[in-house]
Amino acid sequence: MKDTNIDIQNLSIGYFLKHRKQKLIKSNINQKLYKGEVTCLLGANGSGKSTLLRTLAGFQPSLGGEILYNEKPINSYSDSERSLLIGLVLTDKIFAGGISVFDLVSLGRHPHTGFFGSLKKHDKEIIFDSMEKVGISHKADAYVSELSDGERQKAMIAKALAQECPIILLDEPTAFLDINSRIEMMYLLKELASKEQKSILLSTHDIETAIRLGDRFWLMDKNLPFTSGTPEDLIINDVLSQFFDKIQFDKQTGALQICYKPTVDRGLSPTAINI
Amino acid sequence: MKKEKAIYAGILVLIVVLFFANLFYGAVSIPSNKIIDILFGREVERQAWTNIILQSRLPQAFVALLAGASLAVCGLMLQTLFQNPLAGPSILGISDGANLGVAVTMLCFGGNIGFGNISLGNNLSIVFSALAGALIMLGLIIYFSTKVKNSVMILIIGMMMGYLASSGIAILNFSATAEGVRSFVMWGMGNFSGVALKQIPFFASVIVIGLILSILLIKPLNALLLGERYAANLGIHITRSRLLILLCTGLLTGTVTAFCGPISFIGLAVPHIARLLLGTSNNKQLVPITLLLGSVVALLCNIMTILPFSEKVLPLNAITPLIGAPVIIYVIINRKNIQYFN
Repeated sequence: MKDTNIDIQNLSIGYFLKHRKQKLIKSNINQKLYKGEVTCLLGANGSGKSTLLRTLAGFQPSLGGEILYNEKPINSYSDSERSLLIGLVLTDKIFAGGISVFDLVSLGRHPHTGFFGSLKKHDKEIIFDSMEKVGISHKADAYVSELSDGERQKAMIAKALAQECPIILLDEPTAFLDINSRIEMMYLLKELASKEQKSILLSTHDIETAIRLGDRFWLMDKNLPFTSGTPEDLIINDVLSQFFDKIQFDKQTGALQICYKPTVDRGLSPTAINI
Repeated sequence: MKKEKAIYAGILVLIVVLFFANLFYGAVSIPSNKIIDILFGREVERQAWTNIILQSRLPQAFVALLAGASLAVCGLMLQTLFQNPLAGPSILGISDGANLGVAVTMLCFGGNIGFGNISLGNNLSIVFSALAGALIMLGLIIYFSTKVKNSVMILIIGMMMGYLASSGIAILNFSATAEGVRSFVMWGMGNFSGVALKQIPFFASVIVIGLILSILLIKPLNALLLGERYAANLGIHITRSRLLILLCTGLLTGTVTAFCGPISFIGLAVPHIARLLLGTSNNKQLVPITLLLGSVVALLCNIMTILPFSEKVLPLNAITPLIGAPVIIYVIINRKNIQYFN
């Protein structure tokens, strides 16, 4: 049995509205995040991936159920304790173009440093180490604004590593990346998970890369119950194709094939395409 | 590191030079050796000279030193908090809010608006009303910034709020005497000479408290470079930090405005000069440099208000845009090549 980092029990996610009403996005989520694994959260837009990530990160309250870390509910940890548990890599726009990559990664040491945030020798070692692990050390003195999208994403991951959290949540880390950087990013995350024994949970739309490199899938859909499993099992048991009905998955290789049949003739006859 | 030390040294030398230039150069020409005598406490033949140096020029230079540092660091904190390099205490209408606070208090307690003559009310009530005005304005801007995400739109809302506050002041001012109106207009142009010698200890202690608070806020300010959600994930208490930053800006802008009038451009432009000079927006280095550079610019502006070869003195707000506006235009034009814009 693998070591569990987070144990989600009977979780309901959604929003509190006015007049004590609630908008339920998904209920009855029972999952575990394991050490050393990359878990990919897959689902269409609007299926509730971001809501789940926000709830796990503590940005919004759950509507019910428990998220346990070390058998203690995660909201029983203080803000500063929680900053030592979960490191985040988001798609938020940052205002940090004018600081160096080293300075950016050093922000990850915030939960560990004192009132003025001064870095001791030990902190600096961890910062350099984190940059080394994601392969961004050569850009340590470059400005964040000078990085490519992929490098910026790596720098943010180094920040999360410097934070030394057992769990890292990433919101669509490959969204703005070209295909090469996407594959590189997924390899990097997989390597970090197994070498550093981190639990990594990422949301993504990139099923193809996820099938090859993800250890476990969490599947979300408006109309289907929350499902999880290894990619192989989900493909062999035809579960994945239920969640993505426009794609067929080859049971031997996991390769994708688009099987979209337009319900309405959009006039995309070959001649029309040629124009 | 070497560069940083050189910048520190340069700025400190500039501050000393400009501080003494403010003492030695003024609308009334006084021989330099006499000024040295006065500063060493020796008697000089004309009592008027002693009065000019000790009662006017010395407190004025001191006020410029503190007010410049305050406005600059406020600009920096607002730019970081709103993630908007074009934010500043005057552009967001915070100075105008402080004005309105002072005007309301003076009307209620003095029965007459006597701007420029702070001794009318007691110091504390003036500062509190300026603080209240500044904080209400900040609160409104924060409220609007939850509704409107576009940073340019927020600046425009801030400017509109400033106009509203100004029109409030003008309406209040309508009931004032002719003398009151004149002194209000003068006060609205800003000057560092409005603080009497005996008010300096009070002014200085409030400002120093605010400046120390701003230095204590460096860590949360740095985390906020990544936006609020990242900052929260780094263990920063967002609501508390935001409140402290607002309180600090309110206190500093409010106090400076109450005593010196609404001074434009120093808060907006100095953080940019500091960032360009240092080449980083890491607040650990930026906050102290911005603070000192604010003093330099304020002292420089104060000297520039004195027209050479005449006894006329220009209002401060005629000078600050001469330094501030070109800086802002420069950074906007070059924003593609300036790291902190990207």
